[in-house]
Amino acid sequence: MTAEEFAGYAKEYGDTVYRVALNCCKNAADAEDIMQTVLLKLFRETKDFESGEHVKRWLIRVAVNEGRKLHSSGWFKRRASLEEYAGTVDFESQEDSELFIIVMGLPEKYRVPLYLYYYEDYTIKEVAALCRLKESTVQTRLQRARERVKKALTKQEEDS
Amino acid sequence: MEEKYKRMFSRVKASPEKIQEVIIMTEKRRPRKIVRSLLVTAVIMALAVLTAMGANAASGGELFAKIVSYTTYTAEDGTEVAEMEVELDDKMLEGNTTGSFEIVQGEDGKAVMTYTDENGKKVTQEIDLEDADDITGQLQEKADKK
Repeated sequence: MTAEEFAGYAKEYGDTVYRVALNCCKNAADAEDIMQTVLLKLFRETKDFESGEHVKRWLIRVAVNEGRKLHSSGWFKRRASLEEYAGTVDFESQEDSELFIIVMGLPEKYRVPLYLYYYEDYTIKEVAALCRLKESTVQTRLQRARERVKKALTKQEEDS
Repeated sequence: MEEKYKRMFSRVKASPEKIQEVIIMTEKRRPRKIVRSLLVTAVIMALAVLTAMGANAASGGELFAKIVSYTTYTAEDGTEVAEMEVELDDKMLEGNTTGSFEIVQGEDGKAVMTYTDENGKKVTQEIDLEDADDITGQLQEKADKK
């Protein structure tokens, strides 16, 4: 891969890798580290990619793996609170900021499938392949995640 | 929920500086597979420098009496570096029988080699790797045996 090709992929998929990493580790500093590590791995990768989508899926898989590795290592950078981080993101509304807090408050095992399914529009089968999970597991996790988000949103409405 | 979720996450982005940092790192670095070509380059560069120094390099076969050492490594700034120490045929380079070559290859396919002789005298020359195939031949074969 030439430096020019790499720069194109880094610009196109950098945000995706970052979001996957953020969903994995829930910490912006760690997510940025993972993003850089994953992109450098792409640059060093010698396999031939068939398309941009192939590159994207490869990046997502590696990001998920790196996120798991970070979890198992127990090494995390100083954690800024979610509220603190949400304050740095230019959300369209307060409602979006609150949804972010709710979603990121879900257990890690729900966050990544949710992101890949709802944001990246991958099918359950594709999410299962990307996360190396069974399709039935993905289905269950998505269902539980939806229920939890719905419940949290309802509670929030009631409280306000 | 899907629409709200998409809208919300579309605002979550990586710092452009962090992405740029990686791009800059890779602009200075080439994949490991180029190391092999650096060996060839080292031999070519030796020929080029000897020519520049007025040696009778055109005689071919006995350019190197002995390759003392050859190493490649990644420098702190990420560039791939190849170093070759050779003992030269003193008929070709009177007075300077041992020197070292340091080759740094840039992203543009060009490499800069610095030859330092045993007295510390340096000669720097740039070469285009595209020209490599024409003049390797038996020199590469000689280097491969080391």
